[in-house]
Amino acid sequence: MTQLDVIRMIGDVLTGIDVAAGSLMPDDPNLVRLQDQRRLLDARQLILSRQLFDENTARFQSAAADLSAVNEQIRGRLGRIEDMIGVLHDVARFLDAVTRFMTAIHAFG
Amino acid sequence: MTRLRPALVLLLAAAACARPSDYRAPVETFRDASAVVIKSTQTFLQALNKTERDHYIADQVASQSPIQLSRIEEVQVFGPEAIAARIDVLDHLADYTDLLYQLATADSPQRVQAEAKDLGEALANFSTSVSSLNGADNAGFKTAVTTVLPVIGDILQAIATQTLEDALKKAITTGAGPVNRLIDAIKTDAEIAYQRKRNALSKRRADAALAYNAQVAKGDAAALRRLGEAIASAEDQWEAFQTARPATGLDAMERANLALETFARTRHPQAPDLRSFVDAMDAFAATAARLGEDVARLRDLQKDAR
Repeated sequence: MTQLDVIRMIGDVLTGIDVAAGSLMPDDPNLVRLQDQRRLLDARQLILSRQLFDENTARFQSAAADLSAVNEQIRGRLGRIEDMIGVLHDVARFLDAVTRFMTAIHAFG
Repeated sequence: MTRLRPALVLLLAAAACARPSDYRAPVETFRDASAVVIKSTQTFLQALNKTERDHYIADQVASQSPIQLSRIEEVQVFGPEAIAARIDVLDHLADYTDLLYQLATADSPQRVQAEAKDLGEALANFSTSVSSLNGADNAGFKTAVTTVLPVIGDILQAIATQTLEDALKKAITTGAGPVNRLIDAIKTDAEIAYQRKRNALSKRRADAALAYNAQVAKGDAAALRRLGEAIASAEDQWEAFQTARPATGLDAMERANLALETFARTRHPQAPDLRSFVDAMDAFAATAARLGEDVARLRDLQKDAR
């Protein structure tokens, strides 16, 4: 897996979040939390877009594989707006996995 | 024997090396299609920082939060010099494909040699300016440029000492790999630009729907119509964006470059070799034309949306 694959993967989740957010009413109590999660994920994607990381290390590949596994588990589940608690939980899991990946590759400096 | 003679002539002609005239039309197609792909990629890269700025501002507006100029600077993906360097290298790549075309079509070597010399000098200057780029975001691009440009420089120098036909072959066979490495480096940056724009457009879709939904309870028909049109506009942009992807054109350019190399390396090209060479260039031209149209459509939709 490459750095670009991870950037694309985050992009897919961001798009899923936006479809869910755009289907809610503005006074939905879950909307603010979803938008906060989106902002964090967007910031993570921007960091990965601005810096080149060595993809050929075992650490990178292992962390990327863990992230990919979480992504597979939540794939196609962000559109369940009738279960926003579940959606928020899935996004939080993905966000945690992205944070773990970026910590492993020393993306936070 | 008389009946066999035309067939023998055809066989001998087919068994000969590729003539410069065999290259003329396909190399012209390669040059023209490359120009479209290069222009589309430049459009994306030039808009990259604007995409980030607009994304930040739209996000703050949608969440009714304050805007900080310092944050606008923080969200830029590449600095202005870094973007300029990528635009420049694409211009040089266009000049290089044009030089291949000149080699395939020129009757006299003098003009081509003069152009090769100019391009060689331009690349040498460019190499110096790239080496002064700093930052982790430039590391991959710098490595590609500093590895590839000397090889292309050698090819350009050889043009001064060889016949046009030999120079064309050398340029294609020696240059294909390095040129594709350069395209790869640009492709990575262009795909990052594409993904960040995708992120921004996706957010805009959600904001447009939320703005409409916030207005529903107020019962203002004119406001709802205006916000409904904003949703339609965002959806049109989103749809056009899916196919306006520079990496698709750059992939096709790499494949065409390899087809060019394969043909140049074929010692005794036959009619099927020439046909598959021409087909590869036509396929590239079709991909480039679609990309050019999609990028232009997206640009027009975004202009209308302002």
